[in-house]
Amino acid sequence: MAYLLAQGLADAAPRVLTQRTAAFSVAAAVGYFALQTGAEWMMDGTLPATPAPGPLEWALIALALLSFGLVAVAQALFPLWAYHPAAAGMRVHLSNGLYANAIFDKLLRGWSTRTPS
Amino acid sequence: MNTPMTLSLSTIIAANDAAARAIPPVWPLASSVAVNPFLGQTEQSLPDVAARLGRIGGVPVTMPRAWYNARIAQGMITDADIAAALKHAGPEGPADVADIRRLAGSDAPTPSQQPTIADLAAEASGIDWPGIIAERFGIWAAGYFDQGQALWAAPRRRGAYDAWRQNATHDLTPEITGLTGFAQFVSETPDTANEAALQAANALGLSEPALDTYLHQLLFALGGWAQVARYHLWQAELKDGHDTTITDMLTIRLLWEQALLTQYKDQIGAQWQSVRNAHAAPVTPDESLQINAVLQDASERAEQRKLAHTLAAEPPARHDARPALQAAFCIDVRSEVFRRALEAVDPGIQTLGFAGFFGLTASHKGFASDVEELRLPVLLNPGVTTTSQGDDPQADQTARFKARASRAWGRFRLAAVSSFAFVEATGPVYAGKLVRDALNMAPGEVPAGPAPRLDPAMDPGAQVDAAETILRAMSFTENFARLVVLAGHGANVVNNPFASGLHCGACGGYSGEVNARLLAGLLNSADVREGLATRGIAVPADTLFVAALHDTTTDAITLYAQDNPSDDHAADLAQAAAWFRSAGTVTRGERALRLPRAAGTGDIALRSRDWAETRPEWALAGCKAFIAAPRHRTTGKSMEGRAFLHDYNWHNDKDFGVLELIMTAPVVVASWISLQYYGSTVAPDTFGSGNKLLHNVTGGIGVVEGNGGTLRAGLPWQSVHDGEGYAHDPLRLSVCIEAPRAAMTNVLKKHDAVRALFDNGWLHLFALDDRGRMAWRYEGDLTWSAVDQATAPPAEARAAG
Repeated sequence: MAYLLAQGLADAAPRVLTQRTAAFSVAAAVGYFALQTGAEWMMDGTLPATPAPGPLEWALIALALLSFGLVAVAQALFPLWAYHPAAAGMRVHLSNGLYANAIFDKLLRGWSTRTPS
Repeated sequence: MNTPMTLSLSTIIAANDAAARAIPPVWPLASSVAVNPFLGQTEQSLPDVAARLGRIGGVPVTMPRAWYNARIAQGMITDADIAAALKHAGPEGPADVADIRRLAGSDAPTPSQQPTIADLAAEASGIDWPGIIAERFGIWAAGYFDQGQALWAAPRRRGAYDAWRQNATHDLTPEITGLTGFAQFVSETPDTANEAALQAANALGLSEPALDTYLHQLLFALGGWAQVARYHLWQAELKDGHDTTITDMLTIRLLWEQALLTQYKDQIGAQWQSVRNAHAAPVTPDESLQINAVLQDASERAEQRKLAHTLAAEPPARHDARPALQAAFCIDVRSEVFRRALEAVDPGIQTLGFAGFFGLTASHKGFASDVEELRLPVLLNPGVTTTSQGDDPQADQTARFKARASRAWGRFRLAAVSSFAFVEATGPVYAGKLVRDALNMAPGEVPAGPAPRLDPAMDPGAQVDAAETILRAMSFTENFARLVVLAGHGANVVNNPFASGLHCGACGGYSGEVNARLLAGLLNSADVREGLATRGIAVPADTLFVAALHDTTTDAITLYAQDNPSDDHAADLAQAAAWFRSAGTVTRGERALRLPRAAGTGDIALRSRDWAETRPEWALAGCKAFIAAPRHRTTGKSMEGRAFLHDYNWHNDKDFGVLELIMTAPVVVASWISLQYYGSTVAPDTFGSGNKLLHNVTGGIGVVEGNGGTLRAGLPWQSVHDGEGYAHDPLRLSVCIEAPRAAMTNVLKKHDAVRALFDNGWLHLFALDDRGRMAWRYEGDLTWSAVDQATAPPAEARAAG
């Protein structure tokens, strides 16, 4: 929601645009909560009650919330820092998926021209 | 033997530039046009180019021998055709007709390319270096050339070489894959691209004669990316500027070679030595390539016989009365079918052919848009700026806000976090749209919007000049009907990255209605008509010009009558619309015969809305001839949608200025189209863009096949092949012009680039006589030979069925 609104509030955004994006965010929010509530209502009684979260679960929930929040903020502020020279190196590392693909290719011999005998 | 030779900076700069010019440009998808893939080789003949492309890429430039052999067996190619082709090939050419017939039955050896250092290193190390380079380079280039598709586009400051170095010094992938110290190596290369190229070339031990084909090969291997860079150079040079993107890319590729050679020197040093020597040897075609070229020429001569036969037929009687309707269409081969159908609907209808931009080189801004669309042939610079903004700035603003809001929505949909919840929350909202599109129920959209106008307006004198030039270029200066329709054309397809390739090539890959509406507005202006009268072109007061759009996918015609409302012409317009509908039905019937999975007229319209349709229309596939003559030379004769028809009457062309224009502009554009189809058919892996089903749009500029690697330029396989057989016969275009030979010779003398196309056989040229027959063949070197008029009718007519 915030990201959508942020686009509508960008520097030179005219009022009409802000209104439109605001309407979109409301629609998306209504849609989301309607779906969640609706699903809960439909499933009522058919699913066992959610177990109470232990310390590990709480930590995971917090981690997920935090990281999602961080990414959302980063993306909303994206135009401000994405092209800063200091971000150039990070861009390369991130766009290569921190080399996970390259490492797996290496391990799995993905670039090998020799067919295993 | 192994003495280190050193090249000078000026040598390497010149060689880099030559290699850059050997590569054809490719236009971005939004305005893609056909490009001659042999653009850099028009100064050479087909066998020479076969030898060069064989050396650098193992690329064939003719069909497999079996294709010719089948045509010989069917009697389509006769001994006379082969004999004529042999004679044309000259005394150094291959032996005799019997030899050719025999050799057509055997397979030609596949051309073997010289390996690059990357190829050698791959062989030595078992690591696919060419693939890795293509992948690494593709990832960088897709970001660098991005046109608004990427969320986080790559920085572009200070040119391609610097941008790449910045990327390569951070990228760890090559080192993970096995190229030790690559980032370090890149960080220590010279600061300017030229010096880096020089250093690399010397490190590779390249001699000056080896540079030509070796550097061409390196750029060639970058595929579409090199072509995108060549496009940047092309655009810069049109504006008298310069651009180094392509030579920067060559430097980058050279640096990869240098790094690989350094690492694998012990294993591949000796092989590399012999590859270098092979590159230094002159490029000469062997006998097998000569024979391929003779077979190709013979197959073209066979088609020319057929064409000569069609043209020699007596034309139907002419009506000199004032026509009931005149309709001008683009020279595009798709118009030919429609024009023939339209003229058959009523004898009072006359059609004309002219390049679909109608002489107006417009840089156009659409409604609620700031994007400049260059709606003109790509060889030219825009001459006028136009806009479709309309009179209502409020509507324009609203449309812009709407577009921005939906863009914000689109970003929200793809954003890192919100995309998770998005599908859950709004998925059902899209269900309706999904069903509608999947069942092909979405209505096709016709380009509409307010009429375009010149902005800033042209002064009255210039308007009259423009109108006069255009009408004279069309040989359209008298006998105007009450209603004159100027029809641009455009395709109407969904889910097709190549949609612009189906639009009007003369309009720079856009649909042609803007230019047609502009011209109609110009010619309807009372002041312009007054001015035209003083220049000897009397347009009757009751003549109305109306723009139209010919939808080439469905053959529907949209009239833009609202641009110039005229109550007096209501009946004429209604009649014209009815005629267009009838002609559309006939045209669809004829087209359905060629299209796969089309049983009849009724199956055509659906193709424009079916998102799974890979062959909505055949576009220009099949094109083989360009005819510049008065229409009555071709009236009633079926060209099967395979001929560009340009109206031209040399008797009205006093100093042959129009002839010069035709031979240097529409003929060249047609040659690009013809050779694009030729290249994509004979070498689909190199000059075609591959399988449509695997295409991914990249950077907003082109497609890659699969998930990455080399950008693919050219026509998709589905555009030249129907799944069972070729939809296009690779034939170099036969240009037939009704004009005195001396006048054409003069034009060729003045324009070396055009002359090269004809002299080296990339186009055939014929002069039509005063009865419209193909009377003279241009033999090259400004000489002509008489065409035998007693030629037997083409064998295909007998063998049909």
